[in-house]
Amino acid sequence: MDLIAWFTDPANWTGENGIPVRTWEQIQISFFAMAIALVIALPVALTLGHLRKGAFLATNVGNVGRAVPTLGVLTILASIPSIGIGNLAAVLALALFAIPPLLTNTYTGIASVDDEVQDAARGMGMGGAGILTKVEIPLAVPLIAAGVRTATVQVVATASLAALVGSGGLGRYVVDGFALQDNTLILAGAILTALLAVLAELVMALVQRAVTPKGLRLQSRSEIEAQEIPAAAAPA
Amino acid sequence: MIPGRRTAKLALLAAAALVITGCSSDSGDSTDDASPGGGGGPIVVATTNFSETKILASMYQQVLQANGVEASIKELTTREVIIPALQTGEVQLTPEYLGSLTEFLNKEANGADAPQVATGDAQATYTEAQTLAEPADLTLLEPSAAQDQNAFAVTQAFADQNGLSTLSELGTYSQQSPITLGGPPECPKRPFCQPGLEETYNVDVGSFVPLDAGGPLTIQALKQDKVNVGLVFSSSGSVAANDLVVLEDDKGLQTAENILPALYTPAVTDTITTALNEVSAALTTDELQQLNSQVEIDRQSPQKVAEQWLTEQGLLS
Amino acid sequence: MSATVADASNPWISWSYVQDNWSELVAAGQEHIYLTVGSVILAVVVAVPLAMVIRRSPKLSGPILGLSGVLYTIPSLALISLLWPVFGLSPWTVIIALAVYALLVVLRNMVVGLQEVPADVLDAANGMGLTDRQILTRVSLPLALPTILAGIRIATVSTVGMVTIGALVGYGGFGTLILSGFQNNFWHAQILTATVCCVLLATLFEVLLLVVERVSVPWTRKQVT
Repeated sequence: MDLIAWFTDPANWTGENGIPVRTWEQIQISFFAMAIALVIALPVALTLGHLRKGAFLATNVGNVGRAVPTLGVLTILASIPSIGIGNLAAVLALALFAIPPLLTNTYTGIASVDDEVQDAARGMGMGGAGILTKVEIPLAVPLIAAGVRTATVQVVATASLAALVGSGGLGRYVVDGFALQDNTLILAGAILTALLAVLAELVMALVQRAVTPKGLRLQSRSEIEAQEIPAAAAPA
Repeated sequence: MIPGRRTAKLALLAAAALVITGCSSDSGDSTDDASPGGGGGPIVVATTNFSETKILASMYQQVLQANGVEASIKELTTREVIIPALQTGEVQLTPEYLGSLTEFLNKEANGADAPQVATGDAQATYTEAQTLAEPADLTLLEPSAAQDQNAFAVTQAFADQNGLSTLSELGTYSQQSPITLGGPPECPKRPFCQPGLEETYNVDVGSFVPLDAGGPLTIQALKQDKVNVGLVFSSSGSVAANDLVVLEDDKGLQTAENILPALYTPAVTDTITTALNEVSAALTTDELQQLNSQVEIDRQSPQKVAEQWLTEQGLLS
Repeated sequence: MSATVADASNPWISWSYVQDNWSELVAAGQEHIYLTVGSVILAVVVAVPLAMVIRRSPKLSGPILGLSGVLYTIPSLALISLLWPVFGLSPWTVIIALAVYALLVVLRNMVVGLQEVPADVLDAANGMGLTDRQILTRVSLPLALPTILAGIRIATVSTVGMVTIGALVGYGGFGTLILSGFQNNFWHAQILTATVCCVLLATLFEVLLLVVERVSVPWTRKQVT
């Protein structure tokens, strides 16, 4: 079948349009986008959650984010002369895409720690920061980690959109395949992105398990997922 | 059962039924049911999503309507899709480019390795084209003087810095510093694109960036220095407007790319032939460039721009 | 600054753009609504029997949800273009692709919603002699309704955003305007207006479905976001 021929053709594994390069581009774009999103969303959400302030904002930013089309943000950013077409626009758009669910899930995780636990910790003499880091975050880890994991996987999958604004990554196979009417190329792009997203899911699941305190590992996965708010749009 | 819930469920099912029937009867854009036009039937004009072909297709459509021939436009994708559709009569007319069409028909008839028959000589190429078109159920009308060839542009700064004004000079320059080339995704496979540069001009293409066909992505990439050389079109309005410079095709890599209407032979009538030939006769490269500018830069609609031009030429009465 | 020549007259906010292109915006909106509603309804229609199957055999929950989860990772860009050779340039290409994504959210919320019905309530219903069907319709569904409706709401709002990707095959509602605006020399007014319209539509659906949620479950105070 054409697809097997494509995957076994060494030409598709070398050069700037080869699978390794495009995959690495996708990983890079996703990585930087998530890094920016985490740096922005986590401190804000942790602080607000700890202080139990800004509930309306924090829980609804996830809803608002879900309503914004990533394609729109991507093209808007790429049309701004100082950003321009290419990878930067993609990284920024994906970061914006990941921030709302991260914010909401992290906030919910921290804020849902029982007030009594906070009181108890205070009673033991812990200060605000201590309570946050030693008590609330460990308790909230399942939900926060689940949120980070979902956001990461969706960023990895959505990064394929970047090819529409002159970026690299696995989306190139899909976009170019469509321009060339080459279904094999499109299929290859789809499969590779799905594989990468699944890989990201597995890696993040391991990370989540590693950071979850032992006592909390018993919560079932579907219970966690039902609480968590899915990211803005599904992988675009 | 709580009444509210039951009503809600029924409403949901009713809505589903409505939407699904609505969707299947939504025939989408333009004419899906144009019958393979026998002479005198309605004409479906196929176009790619390249703005210039949209302008040309709109010109053809409007001038046919003005002459009593029912015509509509269908947007498709590439030549590989349009020509087969033309040959079966699924669409009946499309604006084409002499050299590229000739080579396409040549490869279709004689295989992918067939020697090139299109040249820079428009008349000779047209003769070849007609020979290839006839057995393929296609009729090619008079080529216009207006042409649109592949061209390769660099920024003014790049040209000045490296003393470049021709593609031969680019070839020499690239031996020292391989260039980054930008163009449509099919460029690495098109004989008049990357392979042509490499073989005819000895250009060392270090890297290729897939963008669009001489559109805003390519122009931006040139200006942002993401690519050194970009594929543009010789009739595009964007080159001059953006401080770009086209390098001269001093070895004549590009063939004659005069614009001409290609028709499904059974659909041809005298009225159609006369009307379309009038359009071809009136169009020049300079005018085409102006029309392209209005669409590409001023963002006017191809249909309005075509209408204006046809009115000025007195072809719509 | 790498600006194109016409940037002087390429404002982001342009009332004259809206006026001149009102009919295109309205047509795009209608298409957007068709595609969104069609996808979600299709997802619900597929989810209901699957949820019933899982309810009967809970062990299947893992594989079924797992499969939808895997489908979820396929980028919609790719799924849409893969369905294109099958369904051609028709709305179905987009509707079916987006229904796949909506399915995960809707199904998962249906399953979890039904699972969360307290066991003692089910016991009581059993004890009262209700048949399984009656338990489902009179007990489980009403209790699961908030979660189910929330799932539908989330799926709908997500779908509004994803419809834009359908622009690739010419059925993207506001997305078609976004993409063509971008390709039309980065037409700021069209890109921003179409994006804003998309957000407004998503908000409209969110509000509407929130109202539906509240109206259909007046006895619950607790909101599942």
